[in-house]
Amino acid sequence: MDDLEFRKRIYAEPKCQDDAVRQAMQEDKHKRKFYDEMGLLEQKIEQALDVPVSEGLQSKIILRQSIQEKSKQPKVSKAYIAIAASIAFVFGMTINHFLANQNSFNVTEMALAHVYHEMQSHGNLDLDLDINTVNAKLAAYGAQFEKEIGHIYSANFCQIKNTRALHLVLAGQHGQINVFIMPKANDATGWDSVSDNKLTTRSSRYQSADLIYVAPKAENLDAVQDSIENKISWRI
Amino acid sequence: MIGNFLRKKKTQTQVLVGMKEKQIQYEALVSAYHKDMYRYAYWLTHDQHIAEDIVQETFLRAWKSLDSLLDANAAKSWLITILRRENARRFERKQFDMTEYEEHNIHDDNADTEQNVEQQLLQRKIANLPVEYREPLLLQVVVGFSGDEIAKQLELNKNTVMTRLFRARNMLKEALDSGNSERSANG
Repeated sequence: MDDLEFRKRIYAEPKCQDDAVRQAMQEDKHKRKFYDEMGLLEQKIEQALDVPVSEGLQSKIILRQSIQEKSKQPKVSKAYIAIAASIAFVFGMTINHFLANQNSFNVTEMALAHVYHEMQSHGNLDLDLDINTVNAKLAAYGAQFEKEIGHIYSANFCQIKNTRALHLVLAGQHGQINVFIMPKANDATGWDSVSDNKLTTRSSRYQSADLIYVAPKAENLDAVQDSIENKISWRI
Repeated sequence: MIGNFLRKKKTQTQVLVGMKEKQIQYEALVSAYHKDMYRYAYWLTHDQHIAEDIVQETFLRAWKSLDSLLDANAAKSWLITILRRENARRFERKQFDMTEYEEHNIHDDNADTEQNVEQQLLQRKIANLPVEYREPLLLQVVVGFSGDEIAKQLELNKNTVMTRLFRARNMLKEALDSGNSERSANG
């Protein structure tokens, strides 16, 4: 290995220990000297490059990684939150449904009970009202009678469950006909006709109000229903 | 569904065990290489804070793709690749003014011994080496790469790498020699 090549080798790789380099040093002490000098320079370069590293750096690196990991964790539990939310939702719906069912009531039964109760307490009441008095009260339901509806024994507001109804007592062929006019009772059930040994019922459901008829069994309630409802007009 | 749930839980436990192993592997990687990586970054950027940022970014990226590191022997060159990319990204983000090398960045304790004067001169000269000479030198001295590894990392042929290493040391030696003769002349 000539001098120039040797120097180039050592400049590029001062710690080179391969056979050719070793042999060259053994044969030529100038080369050995040059190698040692370059070794000293290399030591200085190493020291110069060996800048201090801030002690906290390692912790900072690991901290950043662990924060990154932590911020990813909610993704894992999202499924659990979704399941919990679903359970809560179903639970809420069940409770709601249960309470709604509790609120619902059989409207025909209540009307019947009301009629029986009134028959006992003031069955003989006859106020002989005119149609205008009735219409004044009916206005609260957005309705009015366009024509006479025959004899009117009474027209009183009464309470069916939580609903305020207008209770009309009219004259029928076979006794008194009770008509309840009430705001839409959507949570009520029992709109079908029923009869017991004395009375029979009908119901009509309009857009803004419900009507329930209770009359003696012998009464032709279908005809009564038609006649009344032909005379009524709705403003709402 | 419950079966599914339990099965899922089981795989989650396995994932957790896997996570713990990954964490241990990661911390070992940080412990073994953060100093070399910092020094390499420092001599690329000449700024302590930028260097620390780059090193932190490097390890964060390393964490994200730690699964792709299959060979522990390749860890160092893998990290260097990430770090060099991270440094390049810094230039893409904004037209970065190359930070001027400042001496006081480096230890400055007992400033006036002759050895320190020489070291400071050497540091200044290293910092001012053109990057194509500086980088192979850093890979060799700081990172401990062989000529072949440097060639692979920098995508150069080995002869080019050896020539650059020769020139880098030649420049430093000349600077030191002239510095020493100046001091002898003054002294």
